[in-house]
Amino acid sequence: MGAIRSRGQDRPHADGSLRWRVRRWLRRIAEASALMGMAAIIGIMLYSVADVALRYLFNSPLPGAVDVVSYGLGFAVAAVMPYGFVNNDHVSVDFLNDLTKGRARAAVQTAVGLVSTVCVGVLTQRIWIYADARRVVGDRMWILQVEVWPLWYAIAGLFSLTVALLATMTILAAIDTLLGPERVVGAASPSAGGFES
Amino acid sequence: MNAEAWTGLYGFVVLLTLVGLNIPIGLAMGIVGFGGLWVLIGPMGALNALGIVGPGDLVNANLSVVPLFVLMGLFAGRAGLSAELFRSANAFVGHIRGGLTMANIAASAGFGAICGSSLATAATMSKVALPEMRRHGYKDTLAAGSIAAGGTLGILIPPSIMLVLYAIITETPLRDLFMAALVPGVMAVVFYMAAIAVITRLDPEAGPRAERADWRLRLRGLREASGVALLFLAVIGGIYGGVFTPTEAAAVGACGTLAYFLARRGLDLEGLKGALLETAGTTAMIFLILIGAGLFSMFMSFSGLPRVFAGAVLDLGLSALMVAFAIMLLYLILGCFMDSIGMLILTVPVLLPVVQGLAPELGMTSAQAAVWFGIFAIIVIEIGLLTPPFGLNVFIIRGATRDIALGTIYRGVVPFWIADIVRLALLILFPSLCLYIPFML
Repeated sequence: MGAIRSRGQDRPHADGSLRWRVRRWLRRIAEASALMGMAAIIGIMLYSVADVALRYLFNSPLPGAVDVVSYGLGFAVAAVMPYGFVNNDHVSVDFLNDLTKGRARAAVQTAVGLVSTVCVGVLTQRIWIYADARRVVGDRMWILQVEVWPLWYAIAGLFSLTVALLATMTILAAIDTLLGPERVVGAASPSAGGFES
Repeated sequence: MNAEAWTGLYGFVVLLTLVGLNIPIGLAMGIVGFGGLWVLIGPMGALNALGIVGPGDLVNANLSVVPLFVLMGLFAGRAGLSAELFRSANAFVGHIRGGLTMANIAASAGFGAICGSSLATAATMSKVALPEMRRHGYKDTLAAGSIAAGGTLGILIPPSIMLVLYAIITETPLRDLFMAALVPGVMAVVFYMAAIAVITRLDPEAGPRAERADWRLRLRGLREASGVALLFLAVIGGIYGGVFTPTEAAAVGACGTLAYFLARRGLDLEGLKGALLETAGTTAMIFLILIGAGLFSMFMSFSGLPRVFAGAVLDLGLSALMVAFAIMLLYLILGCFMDSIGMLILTVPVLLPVVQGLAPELGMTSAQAAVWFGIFAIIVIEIGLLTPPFGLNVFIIRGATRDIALGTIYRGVVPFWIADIVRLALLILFPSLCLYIPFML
C-alpha cells in the first residue's frame, strides 16, 4: 500500500558536510523567495480590504483592484514555487519511496528530480517567450495601464530560480546515489525537501 | 471508441503510472496533458497550449482566493482559535453524557469553517480536545473516533479549499458551492452528535458527564466564540449577499484572522513566519496542480474520452442511484492510496460528464448536477479520510497520541462512518437538501 507523504516535513540531516551546506543554502534562498511572494499576498489582502472599505464607506473604490490582484498573484505564485519544491510540499504517492531506502531511494529521487527539472524548465521557457511577446506588443494592465512586461520577466526569472534549485537538488540526489546518503545526526531543519535521503 | 478517445485512455493509464512512480501529481498531469496534446494536435499546438494555460493561471484574479483562504486558516490555527471554541462549546454541553465529544464536534465545525482543512482540524483538535476527554475518563474509542470524524468537517463547511479547487477545475460558481455545502455541513454536525448520543446511551461509561459550567463561564465562552461567528458571517454572508466577491471575502477573512492572531499572540514573528511559509508551500502545491490539471483537462477534452465514457455508462442502462453508489465505491477504493486533492483532480474531469448525463434522471439541471456532484464527491472523500486501511485522519490522531492503537481509533470511527453513509444516502435520494439554498431560495 503506497503511503501519502507528509508534506513539508523536516528530514534528518548530516551536519557540516558540503552537501548539507548546499541544501541549507537552497532552503534559505527558497524561504527568502517565498517570503517575498507572501509579502505580495499580504499586499493583495490589504489592497482588497481597503478597496472594499473605501467602496462602502466613501463610495470611492481603489483603482485597478483586479490588476493589482492578478499581477500580484502571478508574482506571488512564481516566488513561492521554489519553496514548494525545496520543502517537498507537492502532492505525490510515495509508493516507491516506501519500498526503497539508501541509495535506491536516492536513485528514485534523482529520477523524480530530473523529470521535475525538465518539466518546470519547459514551462519556464514558455513563460520567457510569453514575457518577450508582452514586451514586443507593449501590453498594459486593463485599468492601471501600467506596462506588464517587467512583471512577466520577474515571473520568468523566479521560475528560472525554481529550475536552478531543482537542478541542484537533482545533482545532490545523484551524488547521494553514487556515494550513499549522508550520515544522519538529527531531525532538525534545514533540509532541502524530497531529494534528501 | 475512436482513435482520439483511445489516446485519452492511454493517457490516463500513463498518468496513473507516473503518479505511482512518485512524480508529483501536478507535474504528472502536466506531462500527460502536454504529451497527449502533442499527439493529438501536434508539437506547436501543445507548446501553445502550455504557453496559454501556464501564464493564464498565474494571473487569474479568481485564483487569489486560494492563498488567502489558506492564510486565513493558518492564522486562526496558530492563534489558538480551536482551544477557545472547544472551551465555549464545552461550557454549554460538557455536563451532558458524551458532552465533551459533542463540544469537540461543535468546535471542529467552527474551526473547520475558518481553517478549511480536515487534516489541520484533526491535528489541532487531537491536541486540544483529546487530552480533556481522556482526563474526564472518556473511552479512547469514542474520544479518538470523534476527533477523526470532527476533522472531516474542515473540508466541507465553507469556506473550504477543496470546494475552491472543485469550483476552479469545473468552472462552477464558488458562491453556489459554498451555499450548497451549508445544509450537508449542518447535517454532519447533527448526525455526529446523534451518533454520540446513541453510543453514550448504549454505553454510559464511554462518555461520563463532566461538571456543569455556570452562566458566567458560558457567557465568557459566547464572547470568545463571537469573533469566529462574526468572521464566518462576514465571509459567507458577504459572498451570498453579493457584498463581496469571493476574492474580497477571502481577503477580509484573512485580514480578520491576522488581527485575531496579533491580538492573541502579539507580534510573534516566528509564528507569523511559520504561517506565511506554510501558506507559501500550499500555494505552490495547488498552483502546480492547477496548471497541470488545466493541460490535462484540455487533452481530455480534445480526446473526447469523458464524452465517450459518459455515453458508455449511460448505455449500460444503470439507474442514476447505481451509478452514484458505484462512484462512491470508486472514491473509497481510491482513498486507500491517494490523497483527497489528488482524487478530486484526477476523477472529476471524467466523472462529472457522467453525472451531468444522469442529471435529468436525478431531477436536476446540468448546472445543479455540477454543484451537487461537488458536494457529493467531497463528502465521499471525507469518508475516505476515516476508512481503513488508510484513513488519513486516523493516522494524524495516531501520530498525535502514540498510546492509542490504530485499531481502537478505527473502532471508534465506525459509528461516525455509519452516520456519514446515512447522510450521503439522504443527499443522493434528496438532492434538494444541498441545492435548495443556492438555487431555490
